[in-house]
Amino acid sequence: MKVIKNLANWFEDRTGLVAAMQIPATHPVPKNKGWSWYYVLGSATLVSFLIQVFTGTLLSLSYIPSSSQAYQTLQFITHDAFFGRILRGMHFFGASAMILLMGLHMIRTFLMASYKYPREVSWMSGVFLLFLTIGMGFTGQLLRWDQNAIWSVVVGVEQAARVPLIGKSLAHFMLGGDVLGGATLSRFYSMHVFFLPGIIYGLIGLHLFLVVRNGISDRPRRGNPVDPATYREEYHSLLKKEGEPFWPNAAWKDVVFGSIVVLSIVALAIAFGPPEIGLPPDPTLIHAQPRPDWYLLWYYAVLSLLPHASETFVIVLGPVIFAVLIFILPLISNRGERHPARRPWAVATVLATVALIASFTVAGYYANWSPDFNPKPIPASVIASQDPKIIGGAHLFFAKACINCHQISGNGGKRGPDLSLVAERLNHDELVIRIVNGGYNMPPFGPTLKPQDLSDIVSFLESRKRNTPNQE
Amino acid sequence: MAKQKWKKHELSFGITKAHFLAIFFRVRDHGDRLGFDYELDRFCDGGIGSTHINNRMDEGGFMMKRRSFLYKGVGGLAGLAGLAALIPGLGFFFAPFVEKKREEWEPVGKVDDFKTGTTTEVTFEDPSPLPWAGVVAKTAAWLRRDPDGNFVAFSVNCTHLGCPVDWEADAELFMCPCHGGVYTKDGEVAGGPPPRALTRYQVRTSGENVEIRTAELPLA
Repeated sequence: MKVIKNLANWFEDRTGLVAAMQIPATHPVPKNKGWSWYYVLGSATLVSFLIQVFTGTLLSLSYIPSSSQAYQTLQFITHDAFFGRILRGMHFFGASAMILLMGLHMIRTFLMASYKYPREVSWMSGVFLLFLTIGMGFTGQLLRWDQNAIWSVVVGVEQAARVPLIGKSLAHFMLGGDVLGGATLSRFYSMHVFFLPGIIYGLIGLHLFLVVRNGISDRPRRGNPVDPATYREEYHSLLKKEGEPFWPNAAWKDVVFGSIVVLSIVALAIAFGPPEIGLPPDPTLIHAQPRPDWYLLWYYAVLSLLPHASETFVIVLGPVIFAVLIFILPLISNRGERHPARRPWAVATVLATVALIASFTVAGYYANWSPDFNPKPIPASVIASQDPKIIGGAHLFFAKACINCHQISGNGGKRGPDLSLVAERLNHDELVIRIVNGGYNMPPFGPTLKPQDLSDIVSFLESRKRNTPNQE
Repeated sequence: MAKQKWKKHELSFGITKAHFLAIFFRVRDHGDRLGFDYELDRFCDGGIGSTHINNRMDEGGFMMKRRSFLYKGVGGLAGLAGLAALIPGLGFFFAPFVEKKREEWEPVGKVDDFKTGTTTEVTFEDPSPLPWAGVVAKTAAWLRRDPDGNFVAFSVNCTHLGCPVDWEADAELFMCPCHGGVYTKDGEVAGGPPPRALTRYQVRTSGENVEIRTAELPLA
């Protein structure tokens, strides 16, 4: 023991690291009685990032970022490597935790207006970290390098290509060429493992430095607005009056919550494992339905549901406007009330944003706009008729892919309206017009349907009303 | 301590060897100071010459000129070194912007392999795949043989966001699984969000082979 102690003393004498760390570790923080648990979200985000660094570094021992081998190495990691499944699962749930906690941390900061003077740069660096984290999530999803991943690359590249003037160059830059190929994966790998984390390390350093320099924000108090002229003086008075050292008085809560986060990530990884790896990344396997991971499902839904004419505007300008608005927020509002009760618009903004993202995420999960490419033929019990026209119409409804977009008695796609009871809404002529001319999202079938086929399909649809068996 | 006039020791441009040494040690030892109030007696005793330097040198503006010269010189040198390292790095990073694309005719099958009036998925390889590309070196297209014997080839990428469109033979429609885009058999937009028709590849017959002209990923 004495040898170790002497060694530690020698090391400390030569480096002064412990002494240096004591300054930030014990810097005084407000007690924030009653609010202090809200402050653990930032450190928990950092903990989940460290989990990502830890698991990612270990995964890189086996992962080969080559488009011809990545798929096999992931199979190996997931199914053969010792603890590989859990490690990959931790990396996946760690990413989810990081995004979720970062979102909550940002909401907390926004609702308590902690971004106001003198913490504007803390917020702005946090905004960068948010976008970098989403970038890490997107590039990480692609490293699975399965069928879903390569088509997700294409979707991402197509969106980049819509940027005026530089779009095409940007897309080629992302692909590493003018087609998806051998250079694509290694570029995304470099982004995921070196470029983005490198910037994240720097910004986390800045973020933490500012926490120590400006102190963590005190809890908001009604009727106590931020005035840059007096804030620092008031803050230091508060620290003198009710401050406590960060370590250990306040930090124990961060340790407890951070530990819960780590344990949850490990437990989820053990219980559910990593996301399944799909079919091989073969661009000729075109029966694919690429979907983003859960945190981008809302955006996937937005792209599907917004009016077609506004699409490029939303894809290109939407993220830019959003990024600029949240980035400059502390510059346009760095003083005034901080308590949520005095900032109803801030509360409403958060509620509306959360509700919108949640709704679009649910919509993205079900993705009803995607045609069903594997519908079952309509059974006789649903056709419920001996009329050859109606039976023929039902078969044509299936063969002509109407069922890919329209449900009949629970079978079929949800892209278009459910036609189980369509005869109660539309008469014969209206049905003919819709089928022949199409609609907003529906192709016109007039040019491809023979008159007899059209007549049969209409007969089948006219039989779709409440008195048809199995329609109740 | 002996003090001498500067002009006696100038080599060229008013700078002596001692100045360089003095500057080196000043920068190293006193770089954080703004004044010039120190002396380098060690050089006086070291036989280099009468290099007694003090802040009075500043009187003629010489020290400021020298400092400015060295700031610029050192800054320029560091900038040059940085650029020398940066240019190849940036070039490597942004190579996809300048690399020439290659387009070639790739065979996709024999003429007789394709029935008249049918639309079939065909596959072909990039003109210059990287050795480690693996299966991603391949790509697909929809090829139709018309009754007049001509071939038409469509990209599998939906013009909306690039997802692979599927061919519904009985309905004679291309349908996109991602956001529900629909195209006619000629690739024209029939419904949904796609902003334009499916991209076509050039096709030709060469002897008994059908060949497709490779092209870049169709982008907006």
